[in-house]
Amino acid sequence: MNFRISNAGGVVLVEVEGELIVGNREEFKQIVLGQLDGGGRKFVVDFAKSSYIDSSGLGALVSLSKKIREVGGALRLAGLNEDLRTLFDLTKLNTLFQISDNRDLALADF
Amino acid sequence: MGQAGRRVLICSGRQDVVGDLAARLAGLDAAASVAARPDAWAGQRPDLVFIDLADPGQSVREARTSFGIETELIALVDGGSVDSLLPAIAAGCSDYLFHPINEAELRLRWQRHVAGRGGGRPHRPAGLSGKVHLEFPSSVGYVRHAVAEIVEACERLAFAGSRATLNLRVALGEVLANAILYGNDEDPGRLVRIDADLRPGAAVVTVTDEGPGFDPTAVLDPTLPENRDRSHGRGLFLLRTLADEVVYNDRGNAVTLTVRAPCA
Repeated sequence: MNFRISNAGGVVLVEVEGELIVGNREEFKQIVLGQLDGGGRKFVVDFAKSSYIDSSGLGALVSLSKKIREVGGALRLAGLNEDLRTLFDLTKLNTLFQISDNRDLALADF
Repeated sequence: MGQAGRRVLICSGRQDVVGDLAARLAGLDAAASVAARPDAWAGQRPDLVFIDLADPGQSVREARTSFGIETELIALVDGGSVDSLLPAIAAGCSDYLFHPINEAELRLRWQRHVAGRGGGRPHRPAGLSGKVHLEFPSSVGYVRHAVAEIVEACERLAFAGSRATLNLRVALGEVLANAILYGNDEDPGRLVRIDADLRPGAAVVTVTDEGPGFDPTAVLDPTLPENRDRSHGRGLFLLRTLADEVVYNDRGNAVTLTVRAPCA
């Protein structure tokens, strides 16, 4: 599991490789919060290389999204496979996040 | 106890690991011959080999090739090397032992080895019976490995598709996280145990922790608009939604989840 950070035209792109679960959600939060402290306001989290998010991972996304919104920013999601889409639908978090099919669409939306 | 003169090889570049394990083995069975070099028995193969996965100089595959099927291989694993465990099992280890070593766990491995008398025969005959048992310390770092092993076994022995990769994977992950974080309070001295029965019709998995138990009834509905912005409270919801059946024991420290096969 790994998190890759890059800057795409002023948008912080976070690629999740592997899982976002209870064992690594703190690392994920610290990475994103570091970017927020560094002035980043627009975030895209790309799950194209991820197949497993648990409730802790969902909670981390909710918590980060709230913090980012509080300073006028936005966090968007991209690249969710069918299983992950189902998780967001079941938990109704599809109503809280803007979800794009892929990172290019998410970046273009900003 | 057991068979006299069993030859035990410890493959590790870490002298403290070798010393600790050798001393404990000597305490378990004074007749055992314990060595850290494969040529210690004048050409005779070891009966049992412990391989330290944290030592990059060790190779399970080479050990399996060099010692043959009659030698049992046990992986020594710690928090830093847990990612190597699945490949080690696939390459020929029939069991694993966590380091730092728990005396009771080592004794159990030794008893199994002596009772088995079959060298490399896995004592977890998942391919035959569909039963898989895992036990590990209460650290969230093990969740990924444990879930992966059970889901992989489910796909091999029971059923595949989203019922395995979504329903079983997420539901089991939630149960394990609860057992580690809340049941065992993340105390690495307390163990979490998985007993899985994986058959074509259904995966039935029981997770037991060593905690005092909890009341699973008092949970908010995280899908209500007023709760959606909360960062916690989705674990039990996902468990109940994705598993076909969830049963707690009376004490509340063991939960059995059932995920049925598609169209079962």
